[in-house]
Amino acid sequence: MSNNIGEFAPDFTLPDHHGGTWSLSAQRGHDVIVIFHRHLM
Amino acid sequence: MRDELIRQGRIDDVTVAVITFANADRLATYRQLLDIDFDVLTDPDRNVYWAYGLGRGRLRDIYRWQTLLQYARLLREGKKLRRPTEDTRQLGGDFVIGADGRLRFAFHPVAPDDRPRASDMIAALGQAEPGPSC
Repeated sequence: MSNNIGEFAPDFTLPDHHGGTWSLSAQRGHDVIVIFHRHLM
Repeated sequence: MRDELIRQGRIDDVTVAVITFANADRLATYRQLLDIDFDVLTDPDRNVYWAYGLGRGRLRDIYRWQTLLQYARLLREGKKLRRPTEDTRQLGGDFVIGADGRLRFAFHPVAPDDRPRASDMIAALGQAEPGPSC
């Protein structure tokens, strides 16, 4: 992916903590913040 | 992040997802242990991680002085060092995606203790929709 600002972010669907799945495309219409967890302790 | 979203009145109109690499059956426990208020997802194969252009840190960046000081601070706060179960050179990353699906902010750290300012991320969000007028 290019992380160029203004381009479409890569869509993804991943398992969530509820036991279901979470899709970026399903959030369309809302601003989204995605944080990749750091390996720090 | 949560405090900053509340302070700026955006907590109700922004979706936040934290992507980990834990086993899916441990996500709820992981969320509780780390005291995360947001949706917690897992990307065990790191396919999304790579798709967002994130990679592995260099050893000299992973164990730079700032990172070691961060470990010392966490130890002082009572956190316990645990044997790593994940790739210790894994970095994180922070992205803001607009309601139209377009990338508005991207932060690629070089060390695990690098963080963007929450206020910078929130500034990259679109303006909140005005409420109904009277």
